[in-house]
Parts: sequence; C-alpha cells; structure tokens
Amino acid sequence: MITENRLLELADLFDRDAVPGALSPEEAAYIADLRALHDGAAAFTADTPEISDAQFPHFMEGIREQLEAPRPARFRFWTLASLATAALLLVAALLAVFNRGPEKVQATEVESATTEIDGATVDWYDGKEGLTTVWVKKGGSDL
Amino acid sequence: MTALTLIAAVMLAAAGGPEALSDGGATLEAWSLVAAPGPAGPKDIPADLAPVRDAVKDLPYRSFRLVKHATARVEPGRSASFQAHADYAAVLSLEPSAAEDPQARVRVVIEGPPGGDAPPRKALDTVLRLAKGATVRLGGLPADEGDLVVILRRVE
Repeated sequence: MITENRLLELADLFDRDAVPGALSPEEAAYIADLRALHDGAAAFTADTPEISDAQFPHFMEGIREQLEAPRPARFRFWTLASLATAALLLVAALLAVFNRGPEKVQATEVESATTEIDGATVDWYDGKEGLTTVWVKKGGSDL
Repeated sequence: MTALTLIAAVMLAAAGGPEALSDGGATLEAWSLVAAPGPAGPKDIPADLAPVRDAVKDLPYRSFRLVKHATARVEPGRSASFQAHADYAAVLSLEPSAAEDPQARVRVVIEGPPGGDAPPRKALDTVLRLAKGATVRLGGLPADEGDLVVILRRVE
C-alpha cells in the first residue's frame, strides 16, 4: 500500500524529472499516470497562442480600452416603472383638479321664514334644479 | 422621484377631498323684479333677466321687469342692503354657523312697504342655508301692478 507522503514525494520527483529507477509496481503505475496526465496537458496546450513581449503593450491597451469604454445603456426596468407610475399619478391628479366640471348646485335649506304683513303667511318649497322658493301668501292667495 | 410622487398624492387628496370651506363670508348676487299678470300672450322675460330666466319662467306671471341687480358680500358682523324696490329694502346678514359647514346661513329681511309714520314692517324675514351656487327666490310681496320677486344666488 503506497502512502500519501510517498505519493507526494513521487510527484515531486516527477516534477523535477528525478524519478528513481527502482520502483514498486504501484509506484510505477502512479508515475505512469502522472506522465500520461502531463503528456495530455502538453498536447492540449500545444496550440495555445502566446503573447510575446512585443505584443504585450498592445494587449494591455486593448484591455484598458474595454474597461474605460462607457457602459452601454441598459434597460433599467424598475426606474422606468417608478417614473411611469409617478407620471400617471401626476396626470391623474391634474385631471382630477382641472376637470372636476361644474359644481353641483345644492338645494337651499330654509331654516325659518316669517312675515309681519297682516293676514299673510309664508310658505316655501324646493323646486326643480335645486331652486328653492319662499313665498308670502296674502290672505289665502297661493302661488 | 419621491417628491414627484408625493406631490401627485397630495394633489389627488386635495382633489378628492371635501369642498374647501369658506372664510366665513358669502357673496350673493341679487335680482329684484316685479312680476305681473300682464296682457294675454307669451311670457315677456326681458334680456336683463336672462341670467335668472330659469328662476322666473315657471312663475304664474306673464310680465317681468327688472328693478335692481346687485352683488353683495356678507361677513360675520357685516350686513349688506339694497333697495329691492321703491317700497322695499332688502337687508342681508350672516348668521353664525359651524366652521366646517359649507353652507352659509344667510338672513334675508325685506322691509316695507312704508306705512305712514310706523316703522317699516318685516314683509319677509327668513334664514336660509345657502351652498355655493345655490339659488333661491323670494316673493309674493305686493308691488306696483304685481308682486315683488327677489332672486338670490350665492356665487362665493
């Protein structure tokens, strides 16, 4: 059974290309796995372009341009929704204030009515369209 | 944004709230006229009575003559008067009312006709509760060839 410390030791030796020749079968298998992994990674990155020292300033300049460029306007939903709601409220308020229409004419209330004319009485009634009439009736005459 | 919404809310509340209360006074527009049976035929309502045509057209008279048109402002402790007719004077005053009452309590006293040395009688003494825009007509007092009619309209 190969120990954890031994695996680390073998990996370190592998990285330094100093793998000893005499290995147990388990150790040899582990080294073989490491080598396969190393070879696979090397093959995968073989075609990766590299930035040379001459290209590096241009590369960084491109990054800076992207960072400093103004962010494109984004659709800020809640801001627009809030603004639209406030505008609607304002319009509704203005309509309510300026479009109330003619005030309804309310009926008049007669609290009291008297006359000092001899033999006359006073009567009152509410007519159409809120018009109230207070009338002095003389000796049995009627409106 | 918050301020805009607050302003709108305040305006809505103001628009939907109760009618603004008066400052305790009332402005009244008055027309006094003599209505008479007149000759047979259609009713003769002169042009100067056009603003109160609806208030006189159903009266059982055919002839109408404007005597006085006046606007009066009544306030607590300050009455107003006008000569409604040669024989009648109208005195308008404000009666006390609750501060929140949108109606004005207006007392109307029509004095006359003169009776020699005796003080003028109150031909009509009435207390009316008038809302803004309300119209009332007072009448039945003998004058000239017919009856005196006083139309009051609260304009403020």
